[in-house]
Amino acid sequence: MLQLENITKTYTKENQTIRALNSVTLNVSEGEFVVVSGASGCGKTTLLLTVGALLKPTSGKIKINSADIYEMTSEKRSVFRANNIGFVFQQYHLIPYLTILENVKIPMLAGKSNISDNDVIELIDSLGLKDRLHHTPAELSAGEKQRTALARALLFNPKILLADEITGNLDPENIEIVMTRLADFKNSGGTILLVTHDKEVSKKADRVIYLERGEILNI
Amino acid sequence: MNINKLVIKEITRRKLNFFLGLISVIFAVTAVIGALTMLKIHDLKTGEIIAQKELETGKRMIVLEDDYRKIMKNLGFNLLILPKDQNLNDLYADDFASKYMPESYVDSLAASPSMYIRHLLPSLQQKVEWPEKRRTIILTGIRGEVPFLHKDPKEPMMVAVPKGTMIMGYELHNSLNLKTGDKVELMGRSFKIEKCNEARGNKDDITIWINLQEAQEIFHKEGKINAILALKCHCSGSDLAGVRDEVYSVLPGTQVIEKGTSVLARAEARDRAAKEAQDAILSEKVQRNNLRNERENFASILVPLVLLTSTLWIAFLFIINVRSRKSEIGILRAVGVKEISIMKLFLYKALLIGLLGAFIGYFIGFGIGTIWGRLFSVELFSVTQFIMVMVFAPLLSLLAAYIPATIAARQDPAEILKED
Repeated sequence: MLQLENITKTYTKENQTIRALNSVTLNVSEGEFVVVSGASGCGKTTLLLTVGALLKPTSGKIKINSADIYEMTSEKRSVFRANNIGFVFQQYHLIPYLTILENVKIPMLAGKSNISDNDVIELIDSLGLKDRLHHTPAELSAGEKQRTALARALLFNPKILLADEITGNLDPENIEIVMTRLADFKNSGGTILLVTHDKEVSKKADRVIYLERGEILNI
Repeated sequence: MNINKLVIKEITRRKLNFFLGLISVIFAVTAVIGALTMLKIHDLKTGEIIAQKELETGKRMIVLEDDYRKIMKNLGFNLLILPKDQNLNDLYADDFASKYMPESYVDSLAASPSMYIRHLLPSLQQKVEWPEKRRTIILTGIRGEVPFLHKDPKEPMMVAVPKGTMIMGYELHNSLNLKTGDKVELMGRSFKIEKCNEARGNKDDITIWINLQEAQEIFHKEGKINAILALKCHCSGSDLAGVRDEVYSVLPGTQVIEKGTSVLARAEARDRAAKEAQDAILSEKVQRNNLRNERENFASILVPLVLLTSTLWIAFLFIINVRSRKSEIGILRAVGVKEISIMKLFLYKALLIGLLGAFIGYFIGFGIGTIWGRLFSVELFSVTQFIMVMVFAPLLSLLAAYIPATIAARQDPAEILKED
């Protein structure tokens, strides 16, 4: 499903070359739930953005369902991202002037528009937010915001879900709701790559990989 | 969910940003349309003022012409009806006509329904030696003005000289030391001086006027005259041909000449008045044109300045807008929204600002222009101008937003998402 071949990503900052990812090779099967763990600044988010077709590696190849995503043009990569990848971030990135319903429908701007309002509402309801449909993000709790972000990521039922510290700001009750929804996604064949420090969350993964200074320690 | 809906939602959320952009376009369009409307009003008013001036001048010219005709009447007769065989060379050389025509001619003319002539004065005139005083004089016999039978009676310009009396020119009575009431002998006849004329500076100063019948007897030309002095009608203008035709139809054996000095004087006076009026109109046109140029120069500096300021201001507002929406752009790119769609988010907003600003600005500018110019007319509203504004203002707004929109579209979503 997901293949990373010798991925290296370097940055130049103040005339110094920083190696964020160093020869990372990783294979993730379809329906697999993989947790990426490691200290701050070890390259977890860089790995997620690289896999998410948002950050081109300095070298190496990334294939999703055998498609080399960085061989595509920027336009095609956008379409591929819209159809295959779902993102959830610790900071939610909800659009403040839109309601919850509208925020969840945002991926429809990327092209697909064959999802009915009922389907969207059903999705939102599955995350316990039905009574918040017409509220704006400012009126929601952190857990509700994160659930909204998860609903947005799942709108097109992506093949792979990339989640970055999504339980970091949540109370146990909300963590439970989110993890249940992730389990549902995995059970329906979805692949998950989750960055987290939370050991309880890691226990629910099929596999945990550790990053240190841009390198995978063990698999 | 679509781009348009997102644009409207964003505008309602960030009202101030939209409002400041809108104000900027309204201000620019108001300045342009206000200036253009005022210039158009200036042109309309100039047209009206010049037309009014021309009308007034036309009326003044009619009054002036009438006044000059009245003056001409006071200057004396301006037509001379002579026998047809009178040689004009001799007339101008001798200062009097040497050929004769029947006195009855004047009565025939007076009896005709003349359109052109009023005031008739028959005369018999010869240059002779005044034997008693040894002077060369012009002896003129007159019988006074002959009234027209078909016209309302008017006060005669000249009355007849009673028999046995004379009127004497200045040079004669002055050099001979004669005065009114003195008795003098002329060609064996005794005359009493009825009146001594003031100096006129022409042949009248050596002229003696006596009764026509007595002159005919002295010259042995009973029933004859050699000239009829006449005054053309006021309404005739300078239509000498018309006068001639009229006289010839009644008196075929005559010729008509117009006294040159009078004609010239009148023509010159009329030309002078016309030129004066034309100069006044020209001066008004120059003055109005100078004023227009001043306004146009001011507008030609103000308008580009306002347009430039407005464009830069809109660009600045969009740069602020792009910065404040970084996170939004990042997530939109992450979910697969294309660069062109990100650009549309900003360009549609700019288009809306341009269209709305142009519409409001046009009518505010039009209103201010008409209030300032103190003239409201349907003529001032131009559909072409309105369309131009509705096209160019949004274009300028799009141009201002283009670079910020491009910056937004080319932002690296990974950088944005990593920052947060």
